[in-house]
Amino acid sequence: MVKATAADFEKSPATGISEKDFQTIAQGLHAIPADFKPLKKVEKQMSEWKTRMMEKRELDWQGAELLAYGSLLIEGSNIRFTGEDVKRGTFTHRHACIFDESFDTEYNRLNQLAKKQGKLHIHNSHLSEYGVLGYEFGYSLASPDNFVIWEAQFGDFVNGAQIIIDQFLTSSETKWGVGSGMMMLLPHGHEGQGPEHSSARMERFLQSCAEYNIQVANITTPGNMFHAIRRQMKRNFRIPLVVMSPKSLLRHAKCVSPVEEVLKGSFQEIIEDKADAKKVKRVLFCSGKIYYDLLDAQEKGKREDIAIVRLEQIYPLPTKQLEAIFKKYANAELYWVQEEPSNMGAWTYLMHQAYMQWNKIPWTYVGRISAASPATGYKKQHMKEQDEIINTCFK
Amino acid sequence: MDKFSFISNAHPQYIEGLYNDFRANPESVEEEFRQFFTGYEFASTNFAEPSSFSSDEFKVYNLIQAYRNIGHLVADTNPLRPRKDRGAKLSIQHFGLQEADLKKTFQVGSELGLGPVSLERILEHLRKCYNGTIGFEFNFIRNDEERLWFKAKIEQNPNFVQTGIDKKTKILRNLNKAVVFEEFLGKKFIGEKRFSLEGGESTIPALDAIIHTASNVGVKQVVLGMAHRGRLNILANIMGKTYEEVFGEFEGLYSKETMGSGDVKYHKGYSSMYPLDKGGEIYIKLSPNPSHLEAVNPVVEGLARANGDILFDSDYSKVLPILIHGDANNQIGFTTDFDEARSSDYSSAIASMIQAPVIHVNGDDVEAVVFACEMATEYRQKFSKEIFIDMVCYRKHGHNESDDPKYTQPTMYEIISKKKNPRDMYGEKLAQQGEIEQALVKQMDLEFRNDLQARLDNVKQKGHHL
Repeated sequence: MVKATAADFEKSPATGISEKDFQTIAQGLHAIPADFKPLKKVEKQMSEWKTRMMEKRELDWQGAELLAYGSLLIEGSNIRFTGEDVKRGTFTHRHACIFDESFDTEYNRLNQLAKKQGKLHIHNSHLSEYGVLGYEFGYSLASPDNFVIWEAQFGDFVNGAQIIIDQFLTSSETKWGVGSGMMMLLPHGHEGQGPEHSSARMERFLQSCAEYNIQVANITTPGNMFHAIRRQMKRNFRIPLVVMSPKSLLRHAKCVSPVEEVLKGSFQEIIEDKADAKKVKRVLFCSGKIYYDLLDAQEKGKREDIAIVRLEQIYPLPTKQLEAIFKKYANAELYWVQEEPSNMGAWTYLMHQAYMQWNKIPWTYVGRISAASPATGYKKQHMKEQDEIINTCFK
Repeated sequence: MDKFSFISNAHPQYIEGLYNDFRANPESVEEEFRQFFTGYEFASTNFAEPSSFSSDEFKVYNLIQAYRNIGHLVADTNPLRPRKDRGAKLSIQHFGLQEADLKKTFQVGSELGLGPVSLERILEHLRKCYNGTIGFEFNFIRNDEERLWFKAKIEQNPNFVQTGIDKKTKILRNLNKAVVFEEFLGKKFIGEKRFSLEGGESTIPALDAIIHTASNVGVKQVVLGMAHRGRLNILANIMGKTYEEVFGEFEGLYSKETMGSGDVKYHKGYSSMYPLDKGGEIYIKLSPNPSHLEAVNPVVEGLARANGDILFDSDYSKVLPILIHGDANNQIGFTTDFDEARSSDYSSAIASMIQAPVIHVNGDDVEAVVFACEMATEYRQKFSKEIFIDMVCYRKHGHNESDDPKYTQPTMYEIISKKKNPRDMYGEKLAQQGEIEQALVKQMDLEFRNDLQARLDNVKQKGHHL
């Protein structure tokens, strides 16, 4: 393993899998042993998932995630996955392990994919982010061939692990030459659930970003998540990946990717709009789930004058790709749109990066004003604020 | 539950009443007591001179149990000053016994493996077991097997000393390295922070004892986590980092291969093969750590777990993680007194949460420290559980060497300023016992000091690229 450099982030490596491997994993994921009886609703859910993945050849979030883990396992990697509700998934979206309705016996869907495969060690953990993240970080140091994942119940809880993040995760390589390839999944997004269930404090991670120490991503499609996961194990260096992971997108009708997307290609740092650049007068740059709110307004208003560009990887910032987009839309006005308050989210980081890189800030800010608390506790207020952001963008 | 709690919790007169009931009609008492009285009568008819039943036997039994439960609260574990009164009531009067009973013979001496002996003899044995320089905190553990193991280890031979001149000389040599290393750094690099081990020098023979015992009971790899206090000493005298490397860092020389911003010398990790007395070696690793004292602990545990999975097919007995909670420990934090720092009796109180035993030991009694370390390592391997060693020592200087601890702890630091180091104390003891010549300590001191000086000269002349 080597130390990551700027060149490593100009283009992500190819991380697609073969149709044969896809079939093996998809079959294995949805096979339930004859003597095992899951809850009825889980059985129904799994049958729907199977139809979606294998017949409609579509991936939702859980499908892409499990497919990515499965592909690493059948390639021989071991995976260790812990967090507060990881077996089922806090939002009942994962069901990596299912339970027999009469005997409580546990069936791990990912350890039965192939005769010879790596092992998924998956454990629900208690509510100590400090202790558990420290443990998982330590675990990840032992070998670059083990993929270690820690998931927070809600992203907000990651602040309980702040010491491990500051003292180890973001700085161990530069201080001690000790590198980790672990991934953190931190559910993030303003969905009207109040101040403690909205923010994984992306801004704190971004403030610590330098010298290619970590990667911060806010991913909007299942296909791109698939490639982000596999990319962690397919390079000759290991640095942590911090994912602002979705909540409502887990079940969003438009948040699906065709299976074909994971049979080829690589992680996309930026996802461009298909709009005709000549017609575009305003470009909305954004990251994460607000994209779907913007998309909805764009489609409903048939707004060909507005393009939406998604920043999927916030650090390292894909500056060359951004410059190409600036050039493409040279005559359009550029907005940075976020749902977080302006002192949070990616905005302060982007202003700093832009200033250092281009000596100017190319975007106009659209988002909530600075706030002491990450989100309002009132659902109505949340919706009003969210509408204002979208309306400003399409005014 | 404790097997005998139904007896030790009860008042002796109540038990005497029950016993009289039992003698009149065995069916009239509860099953537990019936079994107990049957056993008692069996023991007294078969193994003892015929004696009439005396409720005093129960009083002595309660006394024995009390020593096992709370004897550690009055053990002689503090090298600086008398223990704080933790309310441990262990006088014979507290158990309803009198001075006059001291010469009487009690059957219950068998409980300690002594047979029927005088109360005086029982007390002497109990004090040796539980009030010496080791305090054993184990009797709260619910697993019978663990408690029996502890009792056997302690009560069968309560001489927590080391035997054999080779072992004793090795302990002395390790103490000498620990002492001279710090004194040397202190003299050569005046005003530099080194977070010295002084006051806790027994850590070096302690770690040596743990590593050796571990290698004898199946451990293949030792992973350590610790904060800054004493770390340079452990890096050099245990981890095998060369003295030249340490001096080089004090001289401001650093590796050309360093990729990043680096870290201060007392945070760095190291790994090496540790040579064993019996021949061969064992892999040891010290994890790098930040200033946040306890943050490295879960990291080391996770690393140990992963190594168990990867290298030893998930046989975790092959990897021994050791966490040294070195600073802010049993006497003092930076300036915070132990009484301000905690409401618990011990800094190790968290152990009771996970049913882990604690061996409290006086850091000035190095042979007892080695005993505690060997016992703790055996326990961990036998029961696959954590165990705490609370080595009560002291910090000779302030938080760092140029700090004055007398601002906040004037009397304690007056005591400390007059104390002999553990090496000199041990050397004198061995000389008194006739085990070594008095001059040996001086000779060891001089040899090691000269060796360090030669290495430092070398680093200064050539510059040492790490």
